[in-house]
Amino acid sequence: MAIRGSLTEASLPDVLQLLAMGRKTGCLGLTYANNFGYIYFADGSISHASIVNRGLGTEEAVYLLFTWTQGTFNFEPGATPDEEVQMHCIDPQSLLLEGARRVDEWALIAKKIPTFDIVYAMDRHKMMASERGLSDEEERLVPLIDGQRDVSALIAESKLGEFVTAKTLYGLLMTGYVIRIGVSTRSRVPARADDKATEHRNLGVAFYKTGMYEEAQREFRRVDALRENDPEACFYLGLVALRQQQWPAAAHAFERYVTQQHTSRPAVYVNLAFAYEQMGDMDRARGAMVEALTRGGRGDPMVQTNAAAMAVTAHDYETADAALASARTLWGTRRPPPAWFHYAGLAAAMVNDLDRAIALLGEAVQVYPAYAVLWNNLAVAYEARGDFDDALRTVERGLIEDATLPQLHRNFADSLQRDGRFDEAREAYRRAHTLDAL
Amino acid sequence: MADESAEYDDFLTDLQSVVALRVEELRARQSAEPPSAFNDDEKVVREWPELTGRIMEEFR
Repeated sequence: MAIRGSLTEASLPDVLQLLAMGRKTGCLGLTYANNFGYIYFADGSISHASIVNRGLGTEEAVYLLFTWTQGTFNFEPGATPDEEVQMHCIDPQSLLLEGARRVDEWALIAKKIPTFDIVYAMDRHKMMASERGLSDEEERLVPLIDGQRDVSALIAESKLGEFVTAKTLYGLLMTGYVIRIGVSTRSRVPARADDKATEHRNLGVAFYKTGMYEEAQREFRRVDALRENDPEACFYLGLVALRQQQWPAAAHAFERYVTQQHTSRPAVYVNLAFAYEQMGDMDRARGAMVEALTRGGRGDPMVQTNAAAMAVTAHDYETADAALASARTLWGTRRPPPAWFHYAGLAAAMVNDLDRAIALLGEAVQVYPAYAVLWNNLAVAYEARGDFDDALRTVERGLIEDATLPQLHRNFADSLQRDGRFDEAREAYRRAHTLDAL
Repeated sequence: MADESAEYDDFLTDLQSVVALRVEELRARQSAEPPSAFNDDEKVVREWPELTGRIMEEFR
């Protein structure tokens, strides 16, 4: 379940400690004005953090996020960062003290350096006249303070990070070695539409990945307005609509991509096929899935798995079996996702290959034990093979994972009935019926 | 070894082509009757419950 809240009611340090204590895995997204930052957790430790359009490292990003005392947060369980980002394992507690110190110092610094578009120049006479030596950070920064670069440029070129640059500059201001001479012309020039679109795009992707779909939709609509028929905007607007179960809107967004873009993206066709399927239009769904396969998706195990899922919906279990076999070979030594195991187990059972279904679902619950659906269908396969003790044990294990799945209660009831435990079975049937009606 | 690898690649290509052709004409198709329990929607979960298993979120 997602956790949302306001930073005025629960501070970031409080939220971090809560997630660390709960050993959570997922993504904490934070918004403040038009800024968005995120912190990924793996088993309670910080694995990656960033602030969109700021280019900060993980620790620097977290420290800066501590200064956001207004705005909202949203925790999306299970979310993991992209494979290409640098991963860490940082105990959030270790950042709290330094974070608190920096928050206090930022409050002082901000009084002298309120914005990053200010330009400073050196008062070299004053510096030469002083006997005070320069620190390492000052040595790095002083040559860059030329009356041209603004604070943003100093941060970027000194590579000291926002906090250390601003703190060093603050020290130089206090000693009178530097003086403010104005603001950069860059800040007075309106940002180019393309740059603005890229900023909105980055925000939109970050919002989407942290489950903040309305915010993601708002950003991609802005991209769409700035860059007409932007392919990624169409794609993400379609994804948001899928997440919001707005099937015709999703289909429309993906159709826009298909009619306006020449680059083949199998993912667009897979998603379009799913939107059509949900609208009950299997003919068009099938057509879109064929496009996904023929436009570069044949060699993609995700496309093959989605083709299999559609075949299951159409009760074409032979096709599903072939697509799933193809997907598994394409994954090679990599572990297929849980949905692949689900459909592979189901397809095997539906062609009456119970031994294979049990082997597949048995493997699935070993690698993905948190999915009650996998335990449920494994229990049914055991029951169908006459392994009633295994069926009961499996259904009980599944109920530990999710006691709200009606099929598990129904299968539990059947097991109890077989054991002659009629009163308990009646109760389990009642629970199955009640949950099914919800 | 090279022959085996080529044979495997051929097999994979054939399999992928079969899928594309069959998806074009999806219809109820199964080689054997399933066990009765698997025809009962009160016992079996047919649809994967998470959207992530049915859509592709990477722009590729």
